[in-house]
Amino acid sequence: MLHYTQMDAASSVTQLLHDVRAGDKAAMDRLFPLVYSELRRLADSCLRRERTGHTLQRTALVHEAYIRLLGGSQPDYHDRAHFLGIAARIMRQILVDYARRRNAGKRSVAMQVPLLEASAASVERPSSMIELDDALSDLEKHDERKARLIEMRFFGGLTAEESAEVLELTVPVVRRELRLAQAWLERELDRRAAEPPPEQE
Amino acid sequence: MTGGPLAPDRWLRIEQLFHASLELPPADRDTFLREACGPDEQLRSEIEFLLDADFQDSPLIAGIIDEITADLFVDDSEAREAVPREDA
Repeated sequence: MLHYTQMDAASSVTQLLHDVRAGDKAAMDRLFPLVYSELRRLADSCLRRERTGHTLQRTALVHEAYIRLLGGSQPDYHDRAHFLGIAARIMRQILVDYARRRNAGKRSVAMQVPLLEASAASVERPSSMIELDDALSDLEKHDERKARLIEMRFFGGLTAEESAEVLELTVPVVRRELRLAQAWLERELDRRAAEPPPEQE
Repeated sequence: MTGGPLAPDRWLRIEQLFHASLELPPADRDTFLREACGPDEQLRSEIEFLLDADFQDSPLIAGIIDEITADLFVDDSEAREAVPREDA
């Protein structure tokens, strides 16, 4: 529960961002729930306003969260890039959590229907968001930087310049790595789609 | 493009050759890759596939995220309980 005024919140988020950049892990633990709850709150208020997702931009929420949490303070290019990088990670988590919950819901329904339908339901593939997250986690294991770049690009909408700022790389390197990472991911998703679906309990 | 998951050293090799190819003018890449990959046709085609991929947001990846994002906003049961829709 936040008791800050908006200005106080902005300055404390800015301070936490600075601490995170200075390598303070505890600051990340405090920043994460602030950004998470803002993103969740924005998701809920979008739900109230809009009945369909057609007009919704994939990364609009992350940018909206930035404006709400930091827009009142002095805009700083470095803060902005770092904030978006963190929000992108959180957005990925929110989306994969949602996909898992929804999948679990489908399974519990499948258990209540007769055997024939249940076996048909059990071959249903998991959400492609879960497969994307799994593939991204595999990429993370052998190349964390590329996984971060994908996360920032696709879940946070960071430009190559902003990603370069966060990871302390040059823009051409960001573009090159991103290109390779997304080609790898596409290949991996194709491979997984060609495999039989995993056994379910 | 199917097959088993890539072994880390295979991935590393692909990456090295991919980066080296990018440094070359496009016209020289074919000769370079034929020499570098030798009889390993699969390696060469893997790198060519990567080189062909345009630097644009992958529609496959973007599509997956767009879809789940749209679903979250119209179909989040938690949020729906908290905020009943007028037309529900």
